[in-house]
Amino acid sequence: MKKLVTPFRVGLLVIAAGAFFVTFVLFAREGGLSDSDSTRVWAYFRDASGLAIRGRVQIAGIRVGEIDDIILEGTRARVVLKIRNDVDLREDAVVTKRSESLLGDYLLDLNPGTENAPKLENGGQIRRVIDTQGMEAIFESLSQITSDIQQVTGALREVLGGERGAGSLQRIVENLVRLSDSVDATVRRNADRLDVILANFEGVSTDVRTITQSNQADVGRIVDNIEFITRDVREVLASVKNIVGSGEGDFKESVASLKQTLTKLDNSLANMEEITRKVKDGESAAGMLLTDESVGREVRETVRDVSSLVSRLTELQTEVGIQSTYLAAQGRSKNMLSLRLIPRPDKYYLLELVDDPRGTVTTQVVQTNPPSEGDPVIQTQKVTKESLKISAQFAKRWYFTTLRVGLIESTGGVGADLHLFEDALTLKMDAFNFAADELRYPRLRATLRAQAFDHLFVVAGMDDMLNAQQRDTATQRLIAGRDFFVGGGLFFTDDDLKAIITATGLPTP
Amino acid sequence: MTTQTPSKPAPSEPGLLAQSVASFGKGLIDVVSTIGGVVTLAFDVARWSVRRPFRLQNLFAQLDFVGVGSIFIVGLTGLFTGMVFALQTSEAFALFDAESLVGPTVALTLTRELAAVFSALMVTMRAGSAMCTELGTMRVTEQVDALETMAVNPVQYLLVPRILAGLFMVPMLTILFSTAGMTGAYFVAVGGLGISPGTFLTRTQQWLEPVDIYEGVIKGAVFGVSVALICCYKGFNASGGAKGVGQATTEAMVASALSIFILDFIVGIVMH
Repeated sequence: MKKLVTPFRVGLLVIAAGAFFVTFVLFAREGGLSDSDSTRVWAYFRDASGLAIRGRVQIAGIRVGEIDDIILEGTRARVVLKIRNDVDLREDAVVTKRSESLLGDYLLDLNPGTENAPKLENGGQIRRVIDTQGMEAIFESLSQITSDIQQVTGALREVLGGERGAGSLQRIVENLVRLSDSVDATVRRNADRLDVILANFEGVSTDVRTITQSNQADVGRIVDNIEFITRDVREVLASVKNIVGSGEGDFKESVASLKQTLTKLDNSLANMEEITRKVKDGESAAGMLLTDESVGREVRETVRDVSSLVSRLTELQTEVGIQSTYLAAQGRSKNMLSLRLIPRPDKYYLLELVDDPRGTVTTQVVQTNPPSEGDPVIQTQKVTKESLKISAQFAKRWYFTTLRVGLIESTGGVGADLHLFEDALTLKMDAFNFAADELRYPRLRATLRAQAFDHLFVVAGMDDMLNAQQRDTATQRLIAGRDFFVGGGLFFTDDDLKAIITATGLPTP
Repeated sequence: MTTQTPSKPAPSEPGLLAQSVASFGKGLIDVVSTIGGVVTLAFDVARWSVRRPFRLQNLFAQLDFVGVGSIFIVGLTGLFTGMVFALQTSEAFALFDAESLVGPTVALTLTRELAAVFSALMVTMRAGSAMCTELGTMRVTEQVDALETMAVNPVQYLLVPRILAGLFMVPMLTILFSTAGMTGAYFVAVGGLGISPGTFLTRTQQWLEPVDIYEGVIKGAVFGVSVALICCYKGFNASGGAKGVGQATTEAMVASALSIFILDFIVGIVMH
């Protein structure tokens, strides 16, 4: 039995060691690529430093091969790669040398190429190689940076070094020490006061924050007003400067002028004193007005009437607008200036000045007397000429409908408006020019007006819908008939005009 | 009439320089003689190892003594070597954020160098010294002469099993050492230092090649033969009683350790 124990123990050791050996070898073999599993390709590198045999070749960070060999050929390095067979390598493949870590290790990033390019066969060359600059370039940059830092420190040494620099630094430090001591002493001396001040500040800031948060809009308006005020003050100061003058001589003249003005004012006050005396005594019309009771009553009634009138006038809203439309058949534009007076929201007066390319048609009767005896020849001529037309209409609104009546483009007419989508869209119908000879039917116009923005609108529609087109024989101008138009315009209310006038100022003659 | 012959002058003591040169020369002669003796012994062993009778019982006894008997010490040494190596290299690689290289570094170092060297050193300390002492004792007690008297060739009977045991067992202990070392390194790196197991194994697999393992095994065989030859030679040629045996054992240990490192360098050059 003992004879068998020793060989058994040795056998166990051999089996265990053999198993470990085989495992190790298989484990190591799986890390590499066998020839049957891989394709061998190669590429030239100008610099193969950092590359090592069995170095990684990867696509998108996934290992697909390894460096099989690195051979020096002339001045270039021929790097042989083993790439897995399942990688579809093409002739436009690109291999890039890339730094893997700060240790100076490099790997190769492989772009296998596009499908359109021919397949790269076993033993083929990858012609597109990118040598990425590695740690050497970084170290070179660091070296330059170090050099720059050395220059800066050298300059600092020149400035701060030596006795003079040291003296300056010492003085600066001493001043800082004195300053800090002074601040420290002040703070200690007034610690209680500072606490009170800070508490007050805190309270004030809290109040201000509360006010600004709750009245943000008001604060914004206040800031705007302050801006306006400062601008006005600047203008006033400029005016004062113009009045007083900028130089000493101007100032003297201004003072002299002021003296004269004061003298005149003195005289005026003397006259006023005399007038008030007469008024007080009931002399003159003004005196009677103030002393006679009946006259005062009449004046009060007059003032009440005027006040009523002014009140109505102040309620009056005005709207000024311009409109321009392009007439398709006419080939020209039609322009219009309008003024809408709105005493109440449900009614308004519309005044328009219209520049219509159709013009006005007038009939002239021409009598021609022949030189021989006989009846005179009488001819009727229609003359078309451009002239401004006037519209003056009264309009009254009920809910979403407005009816208009009055003068439309210098002829009698009526109109109706249909307001849709909170007045964003308006369908307008106008019927006018009922008695024109050249028109078989009255002129009927349909307009669709859409509000684009606050002050902008667009219009489109058809004019003279019922009549056939007629053109002037001489000028080929369309004088009647259907015509499409499209255009737009602007309008401003009196509030807008006030804002505009405030911003720009009234023109002065 | 008597004649007096003049007396010869007493020989003067050699100087310090002469003594140093003599000592150096003697040492050099000893080294060269030892190398020559070991190489001669190697040829004798090779010659007698293929001759009958094959004493398998002796062979297995030596395999058991050298190999199986060294498993514990080699395994323990390998485990702690791998652990401490992983610990130290991870600290160094952490400076460069490259802890993933811990596995490959430990693996390559163990399989190529440390496993073979340390295994051989362990075998030297444990089995080589025993071989030298045993053979030296047999020599000074004339047991070797007795074998020769009985027409038993002492080289074939005593040395061939020991040399073959060194040849076969040290490579196996090398593999065991690498396995134990990698296991220790894995536990320290993954369990202790938080390196991903996948990273550790994948990177190790990426860098470790079969040739690295072959190199370790070959080195183990070379070291095993070398250690066994030196220890057997020193013991087989011991003289001077117990003191001579002790001196021979000491010389065998020193020479074996030196031969391991020198041969490691030579084999490394040859294989790369």
